Amino acid sequence: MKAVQVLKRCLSHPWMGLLLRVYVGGVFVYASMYKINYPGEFAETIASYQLLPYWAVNLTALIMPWLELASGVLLVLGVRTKSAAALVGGMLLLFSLVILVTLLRGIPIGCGCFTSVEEPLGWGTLWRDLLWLAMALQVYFFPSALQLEDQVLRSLSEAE
Amino acid sequence: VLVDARPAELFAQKHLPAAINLPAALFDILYPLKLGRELKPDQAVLVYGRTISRRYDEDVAQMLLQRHENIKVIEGDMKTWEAKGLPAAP
Repeated sequence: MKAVQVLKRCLSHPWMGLLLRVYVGGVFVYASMYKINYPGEFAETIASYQLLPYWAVNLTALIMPWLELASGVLLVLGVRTKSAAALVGGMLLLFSLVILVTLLRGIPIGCGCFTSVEEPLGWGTLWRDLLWLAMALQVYFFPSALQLEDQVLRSLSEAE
Repeated sequence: VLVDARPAELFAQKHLPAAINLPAALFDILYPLKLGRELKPDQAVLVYGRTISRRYDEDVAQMLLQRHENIKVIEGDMKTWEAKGLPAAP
């Protein structure tokens, strides 16, 4: 019983929130870099999943990396944290579903999660995304330390 | 001549019997190796290979049209082919 309480306290601690927030945000910023620089290659990756209609592939390849970058930066800085965590969580849920469907369909492709040349898509990719989803949920539901938004609001109220 | 325009992984998974794999990304390298010498200028080339997300067939047909005149695209994907009861190689 005591161990469960300690675990609960650890998982909901603001410093744990900070750690996970910066980590997941950093992952998203890193993931967006290659895709923003090489949208053509990312479009091919999206097409290889064979889920989106052909007219939506290029548009998605242009928009999604910027969404990843924006939500990642907001998470790392701690600005609009809940919204950013919801956005990141939503994207991770979507990625997990897409990976699951692709694995079940048996399409032999690479993940394309970070760069276009990567290890083939596997069940490990799905578990990794679900782990990141759990981290995003922690950030959404529990407070995290050193949020820039709090610091700015505090200094503004002090100035008044 | 039958050309499969899809990426190599999809070709390896399933393709039409006797099809040559010629994806657009590797066209400049594979065309001289697989088709360049043997193909006569007036010989018919049938190109197939599309998915819901990409029309690989049209991309490769455009590239082939720069070298040959008699290029035709077979529309439809592998599912359409198999639904008609036609054979597919592993």
